[in-house]
Amino acid sequence: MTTQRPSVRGRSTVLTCGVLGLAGFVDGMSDNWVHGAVLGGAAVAVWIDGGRPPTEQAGLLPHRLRPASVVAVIGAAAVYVAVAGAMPRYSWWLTAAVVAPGVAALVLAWRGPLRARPAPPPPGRAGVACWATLFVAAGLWELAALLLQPSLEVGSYAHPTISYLMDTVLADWPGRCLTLAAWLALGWVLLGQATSERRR
Amino acid sequence: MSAHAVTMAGYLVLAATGLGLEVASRRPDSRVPSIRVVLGRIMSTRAGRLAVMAGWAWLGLHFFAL
Repeated sequence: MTTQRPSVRGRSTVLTCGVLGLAGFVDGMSDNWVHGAVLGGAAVAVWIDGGRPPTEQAGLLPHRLRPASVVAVIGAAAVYVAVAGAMPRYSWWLTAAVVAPGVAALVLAWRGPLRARPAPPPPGRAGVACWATLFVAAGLWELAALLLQPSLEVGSYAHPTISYLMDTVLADWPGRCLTLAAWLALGWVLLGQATSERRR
Repeated sequence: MSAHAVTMAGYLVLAATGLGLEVASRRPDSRVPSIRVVLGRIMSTRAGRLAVMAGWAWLGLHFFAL
């Protein structure tokens, strides 16, 4: 009987890298090379990390922020939202304004969780399956709407994608500001969900 | 029922299901984990953190960037 030498990179690393890399490749081939570069960069980072030994990581921030820091962060975010929201969609200015926090979040994600907190115990398979089914169903529903459009580039009222529905919201400054604020808030909440346990 | 209404109903059902799962996770004896627990497990590795935040960054790029 022979025993296989365990792979240096775990299956989850290879899977994550593959999904990010494929998504980046498809986006890049669709002439969205900025999107492709960000996703491809994340895939490379995951691949590099997969070859390194696991390390325990402390939180980047103290458990409680000072009120002055909170006010400063909220104020900076408000200024960012107001300025970036005034830029036209799909312009180089707005691209730079969105890439900057996106890359900053990826750098923070690389460095560790914002706050040291232990990972929750592994949830049961049935419960995870519920959430996985929901996200896969949502993806398929969106994909079906996309494929039922007259073409991939032309939206359809009969089969609206989320992007098509958002076009109306993002046409004006208030809608762009609200969406940017929601996007930033979501990013902050997601960064806050990271836990300290390091396993692969 | 028009195709538009069916598509929109699908989105609403998906959103309601997500809300229902989150509410169900709050029960003391629930077998459904909250989204916070699921994300906490996914984001306990660097690869998981990078994947989740890359998805978030892509969302912003998709709606706003070139």
